[in-house]
Amino acid sequence: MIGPELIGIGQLELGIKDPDTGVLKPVLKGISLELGRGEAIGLVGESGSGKSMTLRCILGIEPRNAAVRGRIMFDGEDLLSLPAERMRRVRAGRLALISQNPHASLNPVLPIETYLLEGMPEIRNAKAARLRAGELLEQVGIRSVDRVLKSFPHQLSGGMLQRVVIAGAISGKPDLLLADEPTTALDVTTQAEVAAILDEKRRDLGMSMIFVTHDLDLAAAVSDRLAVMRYGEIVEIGTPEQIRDNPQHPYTRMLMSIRPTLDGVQPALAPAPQPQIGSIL
Amino acid sequence: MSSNIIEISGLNKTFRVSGKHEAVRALDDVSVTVREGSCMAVVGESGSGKTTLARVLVGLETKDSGEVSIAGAPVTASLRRREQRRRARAVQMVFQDPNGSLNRRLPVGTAVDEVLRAHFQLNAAQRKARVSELFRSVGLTDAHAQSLPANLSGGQKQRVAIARAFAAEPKVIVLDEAVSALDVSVQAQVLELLDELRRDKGLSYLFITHDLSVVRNIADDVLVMRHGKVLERGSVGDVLDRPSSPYTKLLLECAPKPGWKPRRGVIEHLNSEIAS
Repeated sequence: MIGPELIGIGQLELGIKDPDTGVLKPVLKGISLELGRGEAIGLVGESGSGKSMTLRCILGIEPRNAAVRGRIMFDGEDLLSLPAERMRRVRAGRLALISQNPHASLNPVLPIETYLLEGMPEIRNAKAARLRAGELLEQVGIRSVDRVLKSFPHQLSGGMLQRVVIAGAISGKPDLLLADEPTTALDVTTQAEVAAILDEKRRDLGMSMIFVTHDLDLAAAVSDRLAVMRYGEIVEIGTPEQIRDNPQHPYTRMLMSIRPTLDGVQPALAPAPQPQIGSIL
Repeated sequence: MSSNIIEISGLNKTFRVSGKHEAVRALDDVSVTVREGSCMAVVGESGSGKTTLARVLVGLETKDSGEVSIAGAPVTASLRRREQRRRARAVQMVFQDPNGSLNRRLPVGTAVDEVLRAHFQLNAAQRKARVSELFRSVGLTDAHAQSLPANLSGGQKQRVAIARAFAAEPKVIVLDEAVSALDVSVQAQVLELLDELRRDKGLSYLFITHDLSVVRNIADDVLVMRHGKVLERGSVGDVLDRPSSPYTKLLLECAPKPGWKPRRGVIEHLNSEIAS
């Protein structure tokens, strides 16, 4: 871990209750993870590994029929036992989520300007708030600031919208950015640009980040450490270099060897585990 | 020397977009030939026209002008029944989302059985045997054939979609981002399966993808498209190792790989290079 601890997840377990039988289906099986202030960690895994569910637990937005155990210590308090109102304040002021689909964060009938101004209630002066909104858009590489501020979500491309969401996420200078496959739906060139912006802004503002992705190389590029997840467990944690050069767990080695690569090495076809059928994610 | 199974020349297609005066040129004078038994990858980002090209080739979309043929016979988007049947025997398509080819209320074996009913004179017992055989060829069992789509994983459903495409015994299969939604471990298995089936049956593929690593692993030749135009074509080795188009270089540079770092401004830099 780099720096003093910001978040410490201890033995986090989550089960989803089957509505018919009442049986708990385990989704997270004892996740433990510490993240330092200003540190970025990449959560890497395939579908059903529990990476997104871990983020949902931090935000306190796990499914209704889920049973959660363990602790999530955030700056000294356990988010799992925080009263709803206090949790709401932590979410509003100290955490920010960037999801795969920017439309999930944006109201389709309101212009971008409204979205950004909603996130800065502390600025009373409307003119000052608008200036700040424009400044944020410039920071994420948007040139035609005035046009974008007046636009509605459907008028902008996916890459542009994801920049808007990043601008909104960094506007309150949260302690922790939670990025859930933020570039997966983007074209590869746009992905490179958006990942670079996210990485740069996070470092500039000294924010911690949990970056969830299925792409090992992408995670390595924006993270200080990687945690490889499978079936609700972290199988290996290490720096990107450790994971790349000296993976310890057989699953990590399988992931490394099986993905198609640009340099033409045929993937070695190991007997790959079938993902669990009917994952709740 | 192998002959060309797909011949496309001077293909144009424009779309009218509501609220805009100018039509979008989805395909701008596109010419492609695919050698019999080979796999041609078509690479590009959103809006490049790669999916429109696939849809015109399987007759799902009309063309404005140009020639499209498979095994010497022209492909049209005609809705006449005879033409549709002929087209289905010439070319089949596998989509990114297998759910689109499967009825949620019917066992997945039915999707394959329907193809056999439509194109072959087989009795029920013969069809049943053929469905089993097709499922086995994609690594699935009779138990899978009797399952509903909801009880299969994404990788298994994509295998069913592949079995369905093979059932019509076409000459060409068009795969539109067919492995893009799959986890890497499943993706590797499906790529291996596709490669095996192509060799066994002497089929030809048009493989649409945005992923250059996948191109490296499955294709013989590759076509790079952007804004409806073909920017570069050649063997996979030539295009990926010695790209001549600045855009191909950009795609290669932006793809995450070990030791890679994303950089800001790369797109603008190359855009100006392409423009000049």
